[in-house]
Amino acid sequence: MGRELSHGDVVELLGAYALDALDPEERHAVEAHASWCQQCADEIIQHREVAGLLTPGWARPPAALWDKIAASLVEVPPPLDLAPVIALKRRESQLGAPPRRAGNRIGLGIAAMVAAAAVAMVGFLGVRVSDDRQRISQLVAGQQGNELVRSANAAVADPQARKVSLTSTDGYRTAQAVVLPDGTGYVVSNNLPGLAKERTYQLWAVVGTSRISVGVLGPQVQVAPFKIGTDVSALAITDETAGGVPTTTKDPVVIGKIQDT
Amino acid sequence: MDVDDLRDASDAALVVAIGRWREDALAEVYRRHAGAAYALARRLLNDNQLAEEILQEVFLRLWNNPERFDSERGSLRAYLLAQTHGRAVDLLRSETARRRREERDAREAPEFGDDIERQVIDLTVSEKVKEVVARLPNDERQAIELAYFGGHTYRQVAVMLESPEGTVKSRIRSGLRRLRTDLAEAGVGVTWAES
Repeated sequence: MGRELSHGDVVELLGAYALDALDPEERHAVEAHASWCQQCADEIIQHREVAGLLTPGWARPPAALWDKIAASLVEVPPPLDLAPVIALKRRESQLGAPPRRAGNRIGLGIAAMVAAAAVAMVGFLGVRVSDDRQRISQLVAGQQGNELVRSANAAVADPQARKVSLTSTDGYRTAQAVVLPDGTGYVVSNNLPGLAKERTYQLWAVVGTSRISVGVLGPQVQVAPFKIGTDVSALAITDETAGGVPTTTKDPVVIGKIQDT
Repeated sequence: MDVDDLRDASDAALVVAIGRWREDALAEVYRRHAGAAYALARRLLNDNQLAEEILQEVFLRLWNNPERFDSERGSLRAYLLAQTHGRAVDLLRSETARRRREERDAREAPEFGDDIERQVIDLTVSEKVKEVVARLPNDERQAIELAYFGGHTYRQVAVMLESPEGTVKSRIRSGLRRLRTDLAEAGVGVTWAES
């Protein structure tokens, strides 16, 4: 798939797209365009609502089918490999994080210096990245994998949650996140390709011109919690070396503004 | 929300409950919408067993990923039917199902053309919808019918109707837009959000 379609080209395809009447290449092109073009996304929804009214009435499914579905619901999702969430010392204090363990202070100092240098060089606010899992422990204390998914689902359904649609510049890569009023957020879904073991995705909060690390997501992004402040305007995900980096100069793989509720 | 409340709950509220792993909420969604989804899958595939498999897949997907439905971006019914249709079309275009459909099409070939309107009318939900669909220009109705119920791409539809591809995709879109306007005028709900 290398063909990019203009807005006008895509508009002409929207009806056929809504009826699943496109070839795969054109379907991907429309999906990429509609991931950032609200006008086209809205029109697709309209067409699908119309198509839904044309369905051939009602046919009672076999009684045993619901039993079959219900029986398969007992299978719980696999445990999640929770992504460690790391935050800058300054921001942790803003977010009310617990005091740091003494053993982490040296690493923090070094990282802080690196971050300060990075700030001077690239204008970004650096952050410490370590294996300190206190924040994720705090976020998901008492939660097992399923509970995390439930919490994320509940956040998605929360009418006060702000939704973030992160998209690559070509529109092919996307991720979705939600942020609750208290700053708790979840990366809930994505189509980011898996990375090699020596690479990792890293989640960043954008504050002004600064990027603040809020999580190292691993080479395969799954549902992941994070915490941000109220001054964050956007989220971004970058591709970094395993373990994460204190500051980044990489272009984001995907980025998206935090929408108001 | 207790079990008794589920019957009165909006679709959006049911999806929230599903997000909290309420099986009874999924059962209520199934009670409301499974029949439409099953009818659509069966119509497309002409195969009860495949239709059941698709229904199972669609409802399990809702159970496992309720966040993919956004009540602000359309109704649950349209969402479930779109999921059903997409999966059914994938199957239709698979090799095995293609052979099966070719056999079916060979038997039903004479029904293309003049009989399309009858098919559409037979398949529509309400009298009002029937009336609105019947008012569509023939070329738009045929293109929509062949694409939606036949599971054909617009390029295939163009070949079937011996029309340029660009014309067919335009007819599909203009037909859907006309339907939306006319259905709204006829008082048939075409809403963006679940009430």
